[in-house]
Amino acid sequence: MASLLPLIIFMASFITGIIIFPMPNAAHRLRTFVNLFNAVLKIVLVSLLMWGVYHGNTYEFNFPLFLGFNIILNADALSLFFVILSAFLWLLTTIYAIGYLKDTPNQSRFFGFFSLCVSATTGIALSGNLFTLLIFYEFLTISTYPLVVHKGTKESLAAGRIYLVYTLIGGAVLLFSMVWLSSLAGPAEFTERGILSGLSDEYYPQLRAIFALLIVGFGVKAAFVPFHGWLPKAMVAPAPVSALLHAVAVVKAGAFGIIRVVYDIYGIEFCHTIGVLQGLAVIAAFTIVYGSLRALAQDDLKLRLAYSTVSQVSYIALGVAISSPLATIGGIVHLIHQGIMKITLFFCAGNLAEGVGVKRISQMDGIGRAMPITMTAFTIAALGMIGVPPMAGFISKWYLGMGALKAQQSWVIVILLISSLLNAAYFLPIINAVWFKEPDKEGAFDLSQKWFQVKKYLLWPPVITAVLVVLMGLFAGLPFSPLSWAKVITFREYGY
Amino acid sequence: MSTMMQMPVSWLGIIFLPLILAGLFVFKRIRPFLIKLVPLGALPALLASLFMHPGAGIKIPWLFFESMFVLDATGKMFLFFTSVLWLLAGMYSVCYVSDSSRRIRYFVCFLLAMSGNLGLILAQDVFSFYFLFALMSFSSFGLVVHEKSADAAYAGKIYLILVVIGEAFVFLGLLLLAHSTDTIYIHEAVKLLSSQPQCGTVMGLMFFGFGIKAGALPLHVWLPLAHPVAPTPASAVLSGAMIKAGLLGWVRFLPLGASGFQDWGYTIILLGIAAAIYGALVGLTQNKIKSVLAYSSISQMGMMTILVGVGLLNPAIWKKSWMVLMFYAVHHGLAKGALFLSVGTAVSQMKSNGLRLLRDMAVIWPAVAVVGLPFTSGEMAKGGLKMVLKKSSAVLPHVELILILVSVSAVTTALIMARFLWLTWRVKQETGETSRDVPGLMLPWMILVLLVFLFPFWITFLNVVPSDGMGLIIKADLKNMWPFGLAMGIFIAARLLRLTNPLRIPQGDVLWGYAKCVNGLRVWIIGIIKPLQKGRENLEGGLGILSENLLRPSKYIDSMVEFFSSWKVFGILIFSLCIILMMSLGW
Repeated sequence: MASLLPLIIFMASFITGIIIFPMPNAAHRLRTFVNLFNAVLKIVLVSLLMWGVYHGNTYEFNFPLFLGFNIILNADALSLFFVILSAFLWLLTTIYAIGYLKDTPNQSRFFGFFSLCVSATTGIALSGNLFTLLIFYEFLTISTYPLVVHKGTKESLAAGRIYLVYTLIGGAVLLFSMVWLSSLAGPAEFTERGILSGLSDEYYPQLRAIFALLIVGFGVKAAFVPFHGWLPKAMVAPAPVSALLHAVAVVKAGAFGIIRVVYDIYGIEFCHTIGVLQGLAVIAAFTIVYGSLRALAQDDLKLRLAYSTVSQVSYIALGVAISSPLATIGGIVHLIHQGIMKITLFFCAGNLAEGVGVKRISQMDGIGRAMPITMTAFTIAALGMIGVPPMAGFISKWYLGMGALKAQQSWVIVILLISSLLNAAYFLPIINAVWFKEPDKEGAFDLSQKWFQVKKYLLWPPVITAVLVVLMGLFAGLPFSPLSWAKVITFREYGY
Repeated sequence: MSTMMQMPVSWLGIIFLPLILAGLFVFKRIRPFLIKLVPLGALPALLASLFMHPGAGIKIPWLFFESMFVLDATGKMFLFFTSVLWLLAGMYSVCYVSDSSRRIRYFVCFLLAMSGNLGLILAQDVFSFYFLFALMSFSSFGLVVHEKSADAAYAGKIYLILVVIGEAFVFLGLLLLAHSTDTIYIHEAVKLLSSQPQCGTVMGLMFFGFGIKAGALPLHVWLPLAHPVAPTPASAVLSGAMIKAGLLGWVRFLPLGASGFQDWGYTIILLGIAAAIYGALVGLTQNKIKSVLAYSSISQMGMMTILVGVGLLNPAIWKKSWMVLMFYAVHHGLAKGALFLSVGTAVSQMKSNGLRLLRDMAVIWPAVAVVGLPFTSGEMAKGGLKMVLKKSSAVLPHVELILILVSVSAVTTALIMARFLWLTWRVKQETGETSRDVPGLMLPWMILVLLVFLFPFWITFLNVVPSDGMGLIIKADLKNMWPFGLAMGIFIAARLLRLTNPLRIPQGDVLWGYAKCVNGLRVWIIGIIKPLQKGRENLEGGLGILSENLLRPSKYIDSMVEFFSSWKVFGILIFSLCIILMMSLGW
């Protein structure tokens, strides 16, 4: 049983997807029940897993496939970190999507792929070696494609094609580098502090090349510049999909892959020895600044948020690339912090579009009066993105900064500062417009009828995540806060 | 902090009560009732400042990383005038803002800023201090832009930009402080700081970061825009209480009273004198009452900056200069609050002559106190300032010159207060005493004026000042009249000669220079970016056409072919990668 738990957790959402596909569109209640039942069940299972790991049990599911390539699902501190994020946000996003898509066609297709997508994310999180990770990584690409093109318009089909081109090429690069790596070091099982330190230095050039390829492969999904082109295009997807894509599924899968490569394949010490971290840090830093600059120029709210994601996800990579435990904590904890903050922002953007049909920032003047709760959540999350205390984003930034100082890389501080100022420059005007400007004309915002029908489905998820954004900052020092988990992970990676 | 007394958690009502009140505004039904409770948000803080012993505190293990809140002697002084101002400004607001359609937003911002301002006085760890400082700064933006006007929007923009810059400075400073000293408790960290190599950087960051809030030159540009444009009670707390949060930041984060910072001290003293004189001179050219008062705040904060400088220059007498600094802060906080509140009330209708006289006295007294005439708190504060400067004559270069400049600043202060009274009188003439004379406005104002009047006679009431007053006594020395006399002479001469304001310095004085620079920079950057952007667009367009052609060889081939062709590309890619792989294995 113990070894099957990871598999069961994966299967929970996979089977949900399979069950949902054949349902008729009208079976709204049944679909909602199955969706929510499984989402809750999954959280229970993940909690069980957490409890077990906390008490020192090991869970490993090992299925030999061929040629020494095994499917391994196991639960270590890092995978739990990602699983709990995906399980929790899946529940909220499912609730949100039920409200958002009410009375639209093709819902069974949507929720089916939605579940598959989450099962893929779970698979990525629980993967015990690079091979398994890669399989689920491709599975994720394929299961998200129908979500991106869900609307079926010409625009979304075009965006979907670009998404596929980018991610499939990324996947191909990954496949290639995995095979290359396996030829040198055998099956790349994730091991704390890496598996490569035993290799002699004549392999270093090759290892460096493989590292670069792996970063490119994962960097496509993590939206590193210049591989970020698909992300803004994919904004044509419905709001819950964007929310999930940005907070847990695709972008995070890329970032998570990079964490695995640096810590559990190469090992941070070894990365430092062969000197690949500086390159990663520079790419991340460039992406942070570039994403923020592009965000500044967008008037479309979702596009601005998309470029903000490009920028913020690279905080994770930046933290990983600085060889100091504090920076690692900052990077890893940002995996969750950014997820919660960004999902709040996307929920709110979706509410604006659904409730009053507002999609552009220039239309948002005075909208705080029409939708006070949504915009309060938005404000909290946006301030968190800037790094204003006590929001969660501040904690990430503090640890990244401290880590950079400890590692004597003060240029990182400059990047953090520039990014904070740019974040302020593109979020504060929105907050100002929302609360302190008058709408263009009287009664500019008539809340749509649909909004009132589905209000509770669309309001609660952002409220919950916004509250979490504050709590995760205020109580960052408590055990079981994301920060404390990130510390546990980091100390294991550094072998303390 | 081993002697720290444990206090019950309920003590945190100082911070939480305003927060809870703000939160309760969610419920629409109780809002009219809640508005009346707004002033009470500051009551726990006032009671604590009056009745709690210095040194009481609490550690909260579940907040951030073990936050600590302690009411020390500095905190007691700050908490007293800050809570008095918030309480009275709250009472004033209930009446002043209540018929505005945006009142709910105003009161929520008011309460949040109150919570931040009161809380940061107690906060003793970097996280809670920074949090509460940010809470105050960001929510008072809502007070600045309350009035719907282009001026308010512009002031708000400049305010926000400088808040963000200040936050960035302070963040960096805190980061370096915590990194170099390995503790998050401010008191310990600053003690350890002076032996660290990063000390100078941290001090510079802290000085400018908090200097923005305190209106220090040359970062004061937001202040003359933002303080006057807010509603009157908000101006009072901005200029009386929140400006002092910057001063508190200096007191907390600069190694005041530690030796080895003579150069820093001297520089800060010079900056302070410059602000004291410059602020008052620019203020003289202003035509709006509240702008005059805002510039007077810059000038008075300059005087307090001098005392901060003395704290670094001459650590031996830090106890004395600390005392004077605290006294000055209370004095200016109360007096400036009263002056701002008088702007909305000075022209009110009065039935009897006696009441009218009382009202006029209430306008004049705080102004006279700021000037420092005998029997006022200003006389004591300025006397104290001169005393510590004289006591530092051994370490202070050019002490005579500095004392003369301080006297000059006394003259300019008298002039600026004369201008204030003149403008108030003129407004009264123009409006013909028809404005509101609501008790809700008069009462808080009168209470504040009474406090300005009484507090110098009652200096030991906070149990912080020893009974001998440490040199802070009412001398009632008529010699202190001379700057006032000189200023009156100049002012009357100017009136007789019908000298009109020759300079029209816009609010924010050097701001236009900054704006020019920023604009120039923007044009320059756009000049660089434009070609780059063109290049990127061309590249993206080219790539788009390329991928279009790759994926769709011809429009006339149906979608099946399209599908396979994309796989073909993919296949070629995989194939070529395999070849590279094989070659690499042969290395």
